[in-house]
Amino acid sequence: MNGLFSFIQRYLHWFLFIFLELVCMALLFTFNSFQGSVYFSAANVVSGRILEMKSDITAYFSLKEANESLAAQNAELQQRVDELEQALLVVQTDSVKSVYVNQMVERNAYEVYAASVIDNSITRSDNYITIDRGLSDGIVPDMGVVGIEGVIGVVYKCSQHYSLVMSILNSKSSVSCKVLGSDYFGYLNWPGGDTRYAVLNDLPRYSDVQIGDTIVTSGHSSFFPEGLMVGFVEGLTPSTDGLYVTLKVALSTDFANLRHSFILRKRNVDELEAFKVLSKANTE
Amino acid sequence: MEKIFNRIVWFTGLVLIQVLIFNKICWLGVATPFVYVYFLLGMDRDEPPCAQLLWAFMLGLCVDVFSNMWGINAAACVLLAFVRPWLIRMFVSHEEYENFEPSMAVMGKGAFIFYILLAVSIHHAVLFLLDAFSLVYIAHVLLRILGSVLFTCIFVVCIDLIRHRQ
Repeated sequence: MNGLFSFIQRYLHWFLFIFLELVCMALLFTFNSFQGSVYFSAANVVSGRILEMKSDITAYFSLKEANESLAAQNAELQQRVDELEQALLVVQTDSVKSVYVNQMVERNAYEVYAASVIDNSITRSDNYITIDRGLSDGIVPDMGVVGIEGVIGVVYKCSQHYSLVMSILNSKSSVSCKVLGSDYFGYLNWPGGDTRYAVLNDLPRYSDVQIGDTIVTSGHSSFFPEGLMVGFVEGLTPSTDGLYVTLKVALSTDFANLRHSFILRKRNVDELEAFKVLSKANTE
Repeated sequence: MEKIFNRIVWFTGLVLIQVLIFNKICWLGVATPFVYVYFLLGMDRDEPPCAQLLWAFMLGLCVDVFSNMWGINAAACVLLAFVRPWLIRMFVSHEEYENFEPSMAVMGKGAFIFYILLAVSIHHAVLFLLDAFSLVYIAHVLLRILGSVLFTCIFVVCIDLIRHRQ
């Protein structure tokens, strides 16, 4: 018995080592399924508060640029409002329900929340962004997040006051996108490496895509409405089976410099999900 | 008592510097310094092994929490704390000295630099391989390990020089 105790005492740190490594692996591998694991992320109260303080301080250094880009966005939105008012006028005088109305209904189907980016990473193979809005502000996972320059990502986990956003620069991220002016769509993924580029997969070979074309969201998922800016086509490579092309997309968002973000919430998403569940149940 | 207090100050300071400043550095897209490992490298040689492991785990976990790495830093730190006694023994014979904190002043320039190069390499290899978790971009990962090891070692030597300035 004494031998056993002295053995345990002598090798206690071996057992502790194995135990701690197992705990680490458990944290690493269960993150995706374990809902509570948001407490081990930058979205918990303590780290969120500290990162917020840091971002409050560093925000002063880029106020000028932030102002300029907000002003530019303002101007663009003003122009959009003018265009839409014009369109509305046309529609009303025509008294014909046209595509414009549908578009406006589509746009109105999303509520917009503003949030500040308090932490951001671009150096890893799975990048996440922390924003200062959480469950108490009505944010829940699976909402789309856009920035001033374009799409940023999708809300992944929420705590009471902070949320973790899976950036486009994440190996698990996949956003349905299309080429502006056509209805061919594919999925935007990030293969790692350069943070300025992503790839658009599964676009049919016969879709007539040119270098320099604009890539926008397709509206096929409930995360994003149709037509949000994503980036520009930078290069084309045919897939090995020759049926598809893969596009190299220069992202319009500068992920190294994020300050403001807007979270989109589809208004009737519960209804939509309920409908999807119902139709699934019916087909089974 | 003073020692514990001192250690907690170093712990907090290094974690905050790491997550607020050094985590954001990515020189040429490859090199990120992880200076917080200095806390482990400079711990007493004769610190009880279990205490070393627990400090390492807490240190790694704190950095993980801020950088959304879920246990990767903690795993690398625990491994480093586990192998550290053997690393020190490679450069300093066990009988030669009483308990000491590894530093350039005690170990000598060459031995200390080799010690941190080896220790930091082990830590970074585990860190980056767990982060990538695939061998698809192995060349890029190796480049990141190499760049970051050099970067970290430079910072660790600087901290050591400042701390033990004669």
